[in-house]
Amino acid sequence: MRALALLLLPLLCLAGASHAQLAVVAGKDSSIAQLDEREVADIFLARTTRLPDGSRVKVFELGNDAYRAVFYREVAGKTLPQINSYWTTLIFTGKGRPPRSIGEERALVDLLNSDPHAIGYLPLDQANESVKILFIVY
Amino acid sequence: MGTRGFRRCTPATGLLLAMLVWALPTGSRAVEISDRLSLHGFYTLDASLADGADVHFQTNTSEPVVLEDGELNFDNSVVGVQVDFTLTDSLRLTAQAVSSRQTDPNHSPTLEWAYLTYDLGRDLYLRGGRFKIPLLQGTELRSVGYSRLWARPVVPTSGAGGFNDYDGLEVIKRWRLGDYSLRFQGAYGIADHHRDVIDSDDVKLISTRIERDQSWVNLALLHTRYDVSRADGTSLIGEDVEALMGSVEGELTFGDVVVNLGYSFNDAEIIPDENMAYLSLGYRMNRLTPYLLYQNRSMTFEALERQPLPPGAPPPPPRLTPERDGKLNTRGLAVGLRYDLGASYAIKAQIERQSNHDESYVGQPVIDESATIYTLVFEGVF
Repeated sequence: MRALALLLLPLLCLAGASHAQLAVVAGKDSSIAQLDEREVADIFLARTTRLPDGSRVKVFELGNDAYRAVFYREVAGKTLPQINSYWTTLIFTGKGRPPRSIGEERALVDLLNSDPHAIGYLPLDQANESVKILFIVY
Repeated sequence: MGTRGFRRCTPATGLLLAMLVWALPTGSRAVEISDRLSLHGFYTLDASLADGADVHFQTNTSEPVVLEDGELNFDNSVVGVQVDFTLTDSLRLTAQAVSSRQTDPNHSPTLEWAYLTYDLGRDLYLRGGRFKIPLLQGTELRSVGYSRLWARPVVPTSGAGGFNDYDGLEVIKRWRLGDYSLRFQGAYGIADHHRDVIDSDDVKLISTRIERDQSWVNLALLHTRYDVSRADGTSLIGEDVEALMGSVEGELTFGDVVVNLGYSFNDAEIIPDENMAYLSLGYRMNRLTPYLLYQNRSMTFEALERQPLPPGAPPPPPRLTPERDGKLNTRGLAVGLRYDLGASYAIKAQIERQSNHDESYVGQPVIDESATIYTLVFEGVF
């Protein structure tokens, strides 16, 4: 029974993540108050390396494929293999770089608060007062 | 016709397997060695089998592989590693090396890309170094199998008329126009032809990519001037000649249906004129994508008008290959499946019927040959 629960746990987590609400966030010192859906897509798909105010953006994401799957499905309409295929065409022609992957939520929040030009995304329920919410991914 | 056989597992295959064991648990993520240094890579383990006459087929590098009848061949397997080093906030160094048995029997890696990128701001970039020619997407990403739907690239081994790389400067600009995302690339440099006797004087190219939602269109135009030399370095044709090449290529998505299509031309003096077109239909069913691919390539050879030898010069050596003056037409129809096992690795199985109609050899009968090629590929990126 315990083994079965262990086996099912990742699936349950994945199922939960597939319905997770995510928030695009920046540090408290960010000059950006909000982003619209197109700006979020352009930044996270490396179509631009600039924030709307013209400053160079540093883009981060959690190294969690369940969150990545939700984020890119909602923002770009792409599955994980499709988004990885997309990144492949940019990385190996030098025409774009994917967001830098960060292991844990806490480390991501620390990074965002250490650089006003950094943005990332978090589960909405973890986007507390320590970050600025720029856009909510439904 | 060759004998039925099985090529032994090579050191490259061993390296490939070691990379797989290392790369698979890391999924799609790059290896971040430090804040400034990262490593990306790609791999393809390819097993191909031909049923028919000796077959030259599109390969993952610019070197041809000849499949003999009944031989199981792994030569199309390839491993690549790319290093990105951020020198300053605005300056980055990128180098990509690729190893394959096709390019070197000893699997020595070759440096395919090496360049500096300077971020000028406003989504404008200046790059300098060695690049792949972006005539069709496949010429830039030939070695990166994971980037495409099919088991093998659609571009022929000769790529952009044999001009596969260039050393020079590039400007890249990105911007948004309403619902469309655009990218412009302009470049000037010296192209590198895969035949040493062809020397480019310059190459100028422009390329534009237009993206909207899940679809994109790419347009590219290239002009080069070049000379053809003898083995001793003297000019064979006496003056520079020109080649104009272009391509239009796109991916259109209609729900779960993905359509890829492309056309390229090469209008050249001395080297053969070349026209190529392909059309592919894929149907995405979660991780599984069955596809159909049709491609047609036509090469037109013209007999060379040679420059007279200087007085007293020794006679030229006899030709090693027969003279060509006429058309070679190649058609391929493939059916295949891509299955994405994980977020960054996939298997593909493809059956392709290829036929050649060659009337280009002077004084020799027309050659009609065909073969069926079975390909199984495991590939991915990290």
